[in-house]
Amino acid sequence: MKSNRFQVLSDAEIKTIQQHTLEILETVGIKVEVKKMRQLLADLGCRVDEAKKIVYFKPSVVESLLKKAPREYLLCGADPNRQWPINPDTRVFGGLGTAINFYDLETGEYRPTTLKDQTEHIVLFDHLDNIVSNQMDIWPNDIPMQCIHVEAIRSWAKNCTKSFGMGAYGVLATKDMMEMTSITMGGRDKIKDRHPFITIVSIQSPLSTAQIQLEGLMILAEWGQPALVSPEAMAGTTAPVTLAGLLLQQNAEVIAHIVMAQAVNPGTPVMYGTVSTIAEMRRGTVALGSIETGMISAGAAQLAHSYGIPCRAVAGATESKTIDIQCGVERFQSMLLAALGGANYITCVGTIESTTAGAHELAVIDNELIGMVQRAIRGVEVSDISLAMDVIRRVGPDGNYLMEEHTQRNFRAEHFIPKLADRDKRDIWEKAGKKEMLERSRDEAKKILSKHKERELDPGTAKALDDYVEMVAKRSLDEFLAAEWEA
Amino acid sequence: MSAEILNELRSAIVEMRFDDTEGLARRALEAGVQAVDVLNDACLPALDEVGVLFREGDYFLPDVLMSVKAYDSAYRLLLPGLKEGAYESRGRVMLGTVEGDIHEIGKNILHALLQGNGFDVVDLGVNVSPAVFLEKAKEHKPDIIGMSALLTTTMPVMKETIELFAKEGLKDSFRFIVGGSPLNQRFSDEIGADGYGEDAQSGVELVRRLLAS
Repeated sequence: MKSNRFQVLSDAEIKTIQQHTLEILETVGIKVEVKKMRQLLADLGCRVDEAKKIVYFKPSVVESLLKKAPREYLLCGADPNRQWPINPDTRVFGGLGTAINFYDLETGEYRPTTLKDQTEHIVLFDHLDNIVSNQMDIWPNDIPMQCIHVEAIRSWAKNCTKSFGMGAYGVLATKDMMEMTSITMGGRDKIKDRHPFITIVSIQSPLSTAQIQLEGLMILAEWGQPALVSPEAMAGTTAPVTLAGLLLQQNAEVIAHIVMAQAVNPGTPVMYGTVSTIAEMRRGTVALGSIETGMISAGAAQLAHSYGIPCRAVAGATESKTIDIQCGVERFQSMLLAALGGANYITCVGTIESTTAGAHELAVIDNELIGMVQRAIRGVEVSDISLAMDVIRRVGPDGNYLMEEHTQRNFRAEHFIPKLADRDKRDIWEKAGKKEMLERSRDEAKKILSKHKERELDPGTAKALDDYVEMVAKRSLDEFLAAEWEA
Repeated sequence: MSAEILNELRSAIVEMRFDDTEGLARRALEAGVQAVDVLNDACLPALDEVGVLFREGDYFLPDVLMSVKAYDSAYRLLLPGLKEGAYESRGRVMLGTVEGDIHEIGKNILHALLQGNGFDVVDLGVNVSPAVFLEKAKEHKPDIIGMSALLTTTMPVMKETIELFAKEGLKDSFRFIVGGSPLNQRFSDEIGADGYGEDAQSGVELVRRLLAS
């Protein structure tokens, strides 16, 4: 059977949270920072306090719109033939974070992130087997801020066959993201049924919206493109200190955002997201590497699935500043719990320092950790072949299985075979230069980067992308601000 | 025609198709190819290819062992023809787990890998006393004698064996190699062995090195 899921809520507890959620949405409400969204919800019959910008969601509106969210849809890559279904049973692993600082692959120096790092990061993702999607994890400091999103998409189009995504940063940026994705794929009709671009819409906890993110959500819905609505609530500061209280508040926040997306365009693909965790109670800061992150992810996955919606969870995050034991332990436990908890799109690759710094070595290591997690959740397959009765009979007492055909036929599927973990005897390890995992992952990253070749884009597509980047580069930051809708 | 068959035999060994190799070797002989040429032009190049795949990490032990099994089916068929013709093996290695020890997985892997590298292997099995090593060495005249032990308590038997050969004045007639989990290079040096292999693959390289020197 498949491995048992890690569950933190009973069916009855899920029902209670669902009921309380409707009550919170109706009586406490959600602050909605975009006027035309408040209008849309008012037109649907929700009560709106225009002065406070609070919408009191009518339960019948919530229930009917929630049903419009699809249970399943298709992700694809920049190469549209690479496809991954997303539904409450699948598991896909992707990048994470906003690394503004980076450990240099060559020198090991900790320094501001560059565009080169971003491109290399995208290249690594293309080659790392267990990773499906990059979430524009790297934030270059050496190009103008208003160009980061378009430079990233151009780099993705040129270097990666897999899926891409980023945050929704207001009206113009989100439209740019949609336009450039459509150029990359050869037209808007090419992204109608399969989606190469998945956008994360951050939610402002408690019970609010971030204006630019909500605008982004509305544009994504108009385009029919996947929106991963995700709060980063912290138990003890922006959410109740209790995990149950956090899960309840988060559920109200996420459901409100899913409802708003469906109100704009019924059937918009969404994920029920969570980046929530506990607050560090000495300083009030975030503790993404805590064991509670994985527990919250598991609870969120249960709630998401109770509505028939796939779940996005954060994992692989750590508060460690270096690539040390804390970094390794924290990233792996949250990956394992999120995956065992049933989260369907797990953003977990490449960062340290609460996702604000990164290193290429980590992407390579995380790829291996994901492989281990995937093996664990696959469980033990029991069949006549896997039970190996006839082989056991033939080999008998004191025999060994290494030379059996059954071994050769099955070991690759039954065992996870690591690339980076060292299992050699000391003598061999010493002869090979006494390398630690970090050094081996550095070698592997360099090897991948050195053999990579850019994709051959259609010249018309390449030019259209270049023209678009050039157009955005001429914009001032004020133009972005002026384009925002009325709050 | 015969080139095609040899090529097919080579692929069959690399791809571990052990049910096909005997038939392909027979077809090659029937097409008029000499046994020694089947070996040199198909079987040994196939094993070399497997060796490369193993070193580069694409093939694992079970793959190598299955390829060796595929090779062995062809080799057994070719053997009578090889004895008649001008065939020279790459070298003969005699293996055994020392007296008091019955652990043989490592030795068996080395056996298969050596075979897979075109060496003749005489395997004395487990619990082999110094006297049996001596007697069998006189009989088979191996180039190299390999001793294996898993237990720290049986390691001294390796020393006793080499001492017995020395007493008989035969220490320099053979090269001695040792291997096994508790061993290391220092122990190998102390007992006067000619080499130590950390694992089966290093054992093969050691044999190659000793035979080349």
